[in-house]
Amino acid sequence: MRKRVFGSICLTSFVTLLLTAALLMIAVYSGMESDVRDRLKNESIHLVDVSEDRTLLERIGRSYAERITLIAENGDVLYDNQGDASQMENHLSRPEVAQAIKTGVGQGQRLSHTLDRKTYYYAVRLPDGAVLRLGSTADSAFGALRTVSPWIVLVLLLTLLVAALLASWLTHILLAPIIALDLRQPLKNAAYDELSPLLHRMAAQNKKIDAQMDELKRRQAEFDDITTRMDEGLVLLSAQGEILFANHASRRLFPKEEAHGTYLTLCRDPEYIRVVEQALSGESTRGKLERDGRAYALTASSVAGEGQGHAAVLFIVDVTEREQAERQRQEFSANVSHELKTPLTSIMGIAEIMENGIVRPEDIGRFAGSIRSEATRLLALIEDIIRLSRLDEGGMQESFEPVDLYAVCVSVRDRLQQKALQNRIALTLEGEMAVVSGVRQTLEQMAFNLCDNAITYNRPDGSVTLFAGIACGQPVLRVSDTGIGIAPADQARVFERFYRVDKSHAKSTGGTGLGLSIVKHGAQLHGAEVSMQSVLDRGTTIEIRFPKG
Amino acid sequence: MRNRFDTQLAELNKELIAMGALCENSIASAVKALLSGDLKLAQNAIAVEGEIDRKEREIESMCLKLLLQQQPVASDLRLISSVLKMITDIERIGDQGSDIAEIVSYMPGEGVQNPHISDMAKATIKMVTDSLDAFVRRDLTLAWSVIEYDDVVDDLFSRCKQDLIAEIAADPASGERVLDLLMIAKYLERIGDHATNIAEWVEFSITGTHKS
Repeated sequence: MRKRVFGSICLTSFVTLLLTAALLMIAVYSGMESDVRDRLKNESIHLVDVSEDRTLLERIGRSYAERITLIAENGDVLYDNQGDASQMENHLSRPEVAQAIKTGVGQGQRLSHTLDRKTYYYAVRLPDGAVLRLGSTADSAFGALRTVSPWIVLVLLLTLLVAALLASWLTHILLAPIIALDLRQPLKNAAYDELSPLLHRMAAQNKKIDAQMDELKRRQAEFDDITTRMDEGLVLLSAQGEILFANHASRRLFPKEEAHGTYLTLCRDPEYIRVVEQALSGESTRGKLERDGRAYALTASSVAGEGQGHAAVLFIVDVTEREQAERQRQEFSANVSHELKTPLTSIMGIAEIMENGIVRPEDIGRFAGSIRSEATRLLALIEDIIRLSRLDEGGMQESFEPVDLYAVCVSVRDRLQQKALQNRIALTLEGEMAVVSGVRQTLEQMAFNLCDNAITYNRPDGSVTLFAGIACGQPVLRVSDTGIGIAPADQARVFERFYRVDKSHAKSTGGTGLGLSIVKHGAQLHGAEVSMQSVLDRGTTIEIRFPKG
Repeated sequence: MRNRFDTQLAELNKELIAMGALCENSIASAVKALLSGDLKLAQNAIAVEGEIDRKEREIESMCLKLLLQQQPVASDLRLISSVLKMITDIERIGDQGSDIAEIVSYMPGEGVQNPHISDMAKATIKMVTDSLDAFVRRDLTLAWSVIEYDDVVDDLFSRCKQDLIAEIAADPASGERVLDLLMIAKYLERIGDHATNIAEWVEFSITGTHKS
């Protein structure tokens, strides 16, 4: 701005100055030229009068400023007051002389290039035929320019100085309101009117940018929120393998991670490296990562970038539970088929013996009894499996009703009293009314299974105590026995399907191996907690604590 | 030019970590093979060794190229020279991993039950992992903890030796097996020493002073 203003001021003054000087010179110069001519003419009139007297002419000539030359008719120079006449060449060819001889008066001018001076001549023919010539020399136009040029330069320098000062002052004055503009709020400024379209535009753009920034921030916050809350790890990698983003869950998985680094700084598991490198080379893959005893599924998707190479998105999902459930399901189906097969095989065997007529008629009753008991076992097993799968399916909440746990226990006691007597076990019931919301049949089954186990896995003359009532404000169902107890290593597993502590006695004690599993699932259905205290050879207490209300 | 240098340094860094990962993989496989008797894992450890050697040469030439072409100074120079030293140790760890795997593949039986050997194996793996982590994160404290942890491994080694002496005294016929186990214990102890070296070079690359 300042430079520009300075430049234009300089240019303007420079051009003005030059034009003025040139015009002035032309005017002055042309005036001067006609002056000289007139003067020469006047003087020649006087000198013609004295020219007849050579001595007088010479006397005048000696003190005369102009050049006086007397030229004979044949062109020879007779006299010259500024030079040696005898040395001079014939002047007949000079235009003014030639003109004077011809017409009586002659004029001429000649430029001396070496001296940049101009000489004006005026010639008059004398009555005797000779020619008197007057010459006056003045500076030529260039010569005059040369004389004044230092002054012109001085004026130019002065102009430059003034222009610089003026420019700085002007720009300062002009720019002050522009500099003072508040660009955040363009419309609140009182600057030049000429700027208002610009300011309006700026205001509109500011608004747009603010809106876009807000939108971006909102999206970023949304993205952050989602990625922070999700349990799956998410890592974005650039084509060079640098970590662009790693969410909260992935930071938990790889706690050693730094904010910046490549995928190798996260983890150096070979499978992980294989998956990531394959994704970076442009091929989406899956893999598995084991870490701190948990299993993770890695899904790496390759993202084709704009430049060369591929970026990658790594998705890490904890699949420990899923794998465990998968394993349990497989075990369960294997167990179910095995457990179903065992009684059927016995039935088949007995039936075959009977078919072949090997059995004596008096033994048939015993064999039929065996078939019946095996079939009963099979039926019990199938019933248990159906119960379990119903519990697995869920959706029994609609059949919830208020159920008195104590009443449930009374019925269970009545059903098992006979078995307890057979095994010489003292079965007692304690407690008071405790109403829970639940499915009566399931609750009865749970109490029955617990109580049945307590009687089965007991020792002769032992005791089983059933308790139903309120403890710490919560309805509680508790079964304690003085039986064989469960070893600590088995305690966690007895609730698994078909798990038996003592596999060799499975058959002799009966049972399906699903009893406690049904208890666990039934408790889950009712939102209750199952806890177990057991000491080997001392007894077991299993407590089901129902939610309040 | 500088920009390119930075890229090359990052590449060097990455390659070293990749080499470390291979080496970790190698000893983890060897130790798993040792403890479980799974010969497939042992084969894996032996197979990785060639790759580790190749990586070592690759990184070595990268380092030399960087030194010659870029004339690094200060911390860059320290990093490159310590990388140059570290790869030797990493390569030795890989070698010893494959040596263990080789012994395991000739050893009959279910795998080693000696608790001290398995403790020692776990301790050395931890040392190697931590020393590499110290490099990855430029973590001085972790490097120091690795250097200190070497005593634990040395202690376990002497206990192992006691166990093996007792074993051979009880059953002179098991001499060959005991000697194999002693070799393995020695290799593990050496791996611990190499991990210590790595940690020392990590310390050098950060502070500029080396223990030795």
